[in-house]
Amino acid sequence: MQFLYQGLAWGFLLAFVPVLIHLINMMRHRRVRWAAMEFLLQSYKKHRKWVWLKQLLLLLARMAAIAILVAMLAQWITRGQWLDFLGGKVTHHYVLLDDSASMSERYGAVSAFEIAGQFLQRLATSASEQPVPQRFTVVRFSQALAGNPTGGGLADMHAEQVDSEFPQRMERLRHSFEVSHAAVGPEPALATLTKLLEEAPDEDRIVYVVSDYRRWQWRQTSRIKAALRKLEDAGVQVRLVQCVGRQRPNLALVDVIPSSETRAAEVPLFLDIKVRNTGTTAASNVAVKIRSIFYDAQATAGVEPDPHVEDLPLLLIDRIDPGATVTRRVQVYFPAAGRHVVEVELPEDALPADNRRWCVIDFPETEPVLVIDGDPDGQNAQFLSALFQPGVHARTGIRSDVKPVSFLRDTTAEQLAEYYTIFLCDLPRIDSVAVEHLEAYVRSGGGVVFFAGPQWAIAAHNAALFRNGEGLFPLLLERDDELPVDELTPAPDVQMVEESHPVFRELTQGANPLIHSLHVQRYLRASATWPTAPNRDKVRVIAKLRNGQPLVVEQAFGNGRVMAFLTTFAPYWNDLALNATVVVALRMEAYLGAGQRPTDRHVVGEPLRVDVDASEFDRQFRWFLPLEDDESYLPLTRNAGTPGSPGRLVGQLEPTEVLRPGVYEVWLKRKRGEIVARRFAVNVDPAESQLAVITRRQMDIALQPLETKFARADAFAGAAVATAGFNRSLFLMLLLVSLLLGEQWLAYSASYHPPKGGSS
Amino acid sequence: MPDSKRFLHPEAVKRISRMELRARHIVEGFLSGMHRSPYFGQSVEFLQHREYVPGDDLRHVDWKVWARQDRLYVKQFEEDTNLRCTFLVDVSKSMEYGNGPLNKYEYGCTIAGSLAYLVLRQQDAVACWAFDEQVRARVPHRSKRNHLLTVVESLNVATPADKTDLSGVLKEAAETLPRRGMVVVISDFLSDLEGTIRGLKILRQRGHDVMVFHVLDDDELDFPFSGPMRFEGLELPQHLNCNPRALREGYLEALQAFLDELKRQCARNVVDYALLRTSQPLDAALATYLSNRLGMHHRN
Repeated sequence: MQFLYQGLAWGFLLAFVPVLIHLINMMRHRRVRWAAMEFLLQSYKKHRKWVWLKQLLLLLARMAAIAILVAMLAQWITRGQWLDFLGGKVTHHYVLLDDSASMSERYGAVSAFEIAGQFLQRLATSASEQPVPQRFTVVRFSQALAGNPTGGGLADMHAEQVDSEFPQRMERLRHSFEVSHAAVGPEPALATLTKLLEEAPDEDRIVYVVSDYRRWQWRQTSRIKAALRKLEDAGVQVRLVQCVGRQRPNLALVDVIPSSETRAAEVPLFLDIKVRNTGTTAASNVAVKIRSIFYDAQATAGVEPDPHVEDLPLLLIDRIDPGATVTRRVQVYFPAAGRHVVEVELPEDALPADNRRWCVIDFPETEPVLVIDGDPDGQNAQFLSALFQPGVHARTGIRSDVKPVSFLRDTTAEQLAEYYTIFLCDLPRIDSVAVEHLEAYVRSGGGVVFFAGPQWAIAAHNAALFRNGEGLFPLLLERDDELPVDELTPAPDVQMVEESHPVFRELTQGANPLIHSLHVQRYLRASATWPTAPNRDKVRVIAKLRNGQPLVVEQAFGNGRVMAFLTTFAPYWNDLALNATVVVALRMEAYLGAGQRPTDRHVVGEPLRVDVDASEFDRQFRWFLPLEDDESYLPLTRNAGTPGSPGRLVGQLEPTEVLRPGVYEVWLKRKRGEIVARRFAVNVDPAESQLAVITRRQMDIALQPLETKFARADAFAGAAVATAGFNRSLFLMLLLVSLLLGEQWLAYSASYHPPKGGSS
Repeated sequence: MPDSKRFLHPEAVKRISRMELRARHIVEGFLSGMHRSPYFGQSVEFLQHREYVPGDDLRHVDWKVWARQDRLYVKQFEEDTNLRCTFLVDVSKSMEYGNGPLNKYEYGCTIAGSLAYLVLRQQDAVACWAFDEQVRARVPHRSKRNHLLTVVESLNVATPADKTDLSGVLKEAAETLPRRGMVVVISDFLSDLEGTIRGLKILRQRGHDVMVFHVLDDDELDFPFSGPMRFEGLELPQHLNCNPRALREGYLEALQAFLDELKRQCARNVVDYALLRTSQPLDAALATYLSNRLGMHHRN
């Protein structure tokens, strides 16, 4: 049992006063020596039971009257529904509090989230002053991300009774809230609310959706409107409370993307940094800070990650027009292998949440490539190896692994998966097992490039690799053919069809593109029937020969890519390997190996998951969550589970645990003791940077024909709480009056009233 | 209240401690307040003339004297002294109850003394028995004026018994009193009603005129108590803790039934019954007595 003024609840002890008075009266009765005892005893015998019953009822009525009076004064609040059954209802305030990243937008000294908190405080204070019993439920948008089927578990405050100390409790609660930085709209919270509302269908329910109401969130309002309509149909009052005013200037780091190039230790890597101006005025001289965060072997030696942070030169962007996105490329370098981090930061502005961004890049020692060469002299492999490993002073980051053709048959899918790209040169006949391995490799995201040659088994490959358009090889070949020299027509032997293709981009630029210096004497001619092959639409011709025959084609296969050069790599049929155009092989490795370089892109509010081999790692995972000071971490040790597959260990951070942007880290301990660190860059969703707010007029149009009220937070003052509802105090007062009338009747009936004309 | 009756009120009577003085005070006050000639009985023996005062019975005006002197005189006669009046006065414990100036015992004794004075003044013989469960004092019939003191002294019983045996006393009176006369019973009658009625009946059968003065206190008749109380029986050993207001209705019903039955039985047996409250002026008893005496003569 709870009371608004809990201290007055001690007054219930006064209910025993009538009993006490009764006992005292029994002790201090007046003695009378009486003559007519006989008549008195007759009366007593006749009325004894009735008198007893009346006295008992009278005593109970007096006790109940005092108890009700105390309950009225102490403002009794109950969880039970019995008073509701009598016609009374509790007013239940459900506050859905937006704590998404955009709520961190600052207005001078306070943020939108703090304005929301102030509204919440005003609401709580006002509710505590109401005579009607009140309850409060508070659900942050980010908590609704967890999707717990029991709504109460998601609520920060669930059906809490409002009493005189409630404003203090609310103040403590709201001070414990932080902006989550998650990109979450009202829909999950409304879905959670539906579950909560089902728990208390008989209350007067008011839902406050306290948010910033960005325009982008309300472009597609059908689902939100459906949820609001459902609430209104259920008799729930809905009030949309907006905590922000006009749109303010803001720059947002939209993305930090590593370029599709070879990533390896000691090999510089370009990063593309995208900055968007989400304000309404142009921004100039924007200084972008870039830091490389390097983790060496000692980074996992201590109790928490210990990286080396290095500031890179400032990136200055002259001007960013309103609504424009500017991309700038910067180069980073890490001297050793590992999962390193690049942090980018914009100057302070209205929305701090989108001013920083992190990117975790996995730099291996080298990127291994597999080279299979059917040339008896191994010329193709030699030239490729020389290109990838030019010497100790020049490092490409690529390590070629030359294997015989039989390797494809004897290998496994796991072994092939270690290679970033597979170069298949002048491939003679291969058996079906090798084809299966190759297809599985590409389907899972690998890249394969074919170079033709004299050993190319056209018929066998047409059957096994092309397989009527369903196979790995993109073309149906007919025969090898010579490209005759045409002295009369000064056209280059190779003509680019897709000049902007990443592999050939550098070779096609300029007035005298390098690609024109490539000479081809011989090639494999595509079949005349190939243009009608089933896979024709999936195959892109990147470059063709002077005679119109395709020279370089590309086909997407599963998650990977396949490129086919219909001539040799070694200088048998062309001068590719002797020419500057040989760099296309490097570009090819970078392009086709992209599938092997996944860039983890995580946004706040999404779970982080680690899936490792159970035979290799211990079950205990140590997580490190970034804290606000950027220098320390929140350690979290958890046992990984084996959901579905007993051979795997899966550890996960729930969405509600990933509510702060930064670098999250998990330490996995191998069975032999070595610690392996995995890092995740968790960034704010760029959508949260769009600060344009919906106006009242726009909202009115969007909400039609709903009766939902929309207003600014300062417009919803205490009046918001003054709602219809059953006044329990009034009910108690009526009960008390009825009880007192009953008590008077009982007292009169039990002859406790003085007789007319006074008493002796 | 008329000035003359003011001195007959129990509060006034209470101030006179001696019973014989109290009786004289009451009777003289009563008679002077009647504004009529003293009632001197039904004798025909002439005693004296007295000047007429308004209120005198015109039958007693001596018209011959008026014719001679043109003044109105009334004739006074010497009364007969053959009335033998016996007072049976209850002096039991229950008579000690009283919340007013006089308790039932005092009130009853005062009535007995006053009536005795009145009877002696009429030169009739008076006897008096004071009783509780038995006759405690017995004064034989005498008609001398100084007999009043003996009668009054007999009523002063130091240690009354807890019980009242009215039926036994009445029976004894019926057996003991040799000649027919008047028996005046003064009691609260809080004893066996059936026995009491039986005793009265026997007295009537023996030819006595019986007059009953039922003396009760206001508290007993109205039961005005409130608040928690403990009633302890004066004659019964029981006690009762109760809220008297709750029992009042039942009590009054039982009392009224008792009174009705007593009255009914008295009427049936031609016994004059008068219920007296201790708060009533004491002349009521005398008026009742005289009224009944007249009635008796008419009956006889």
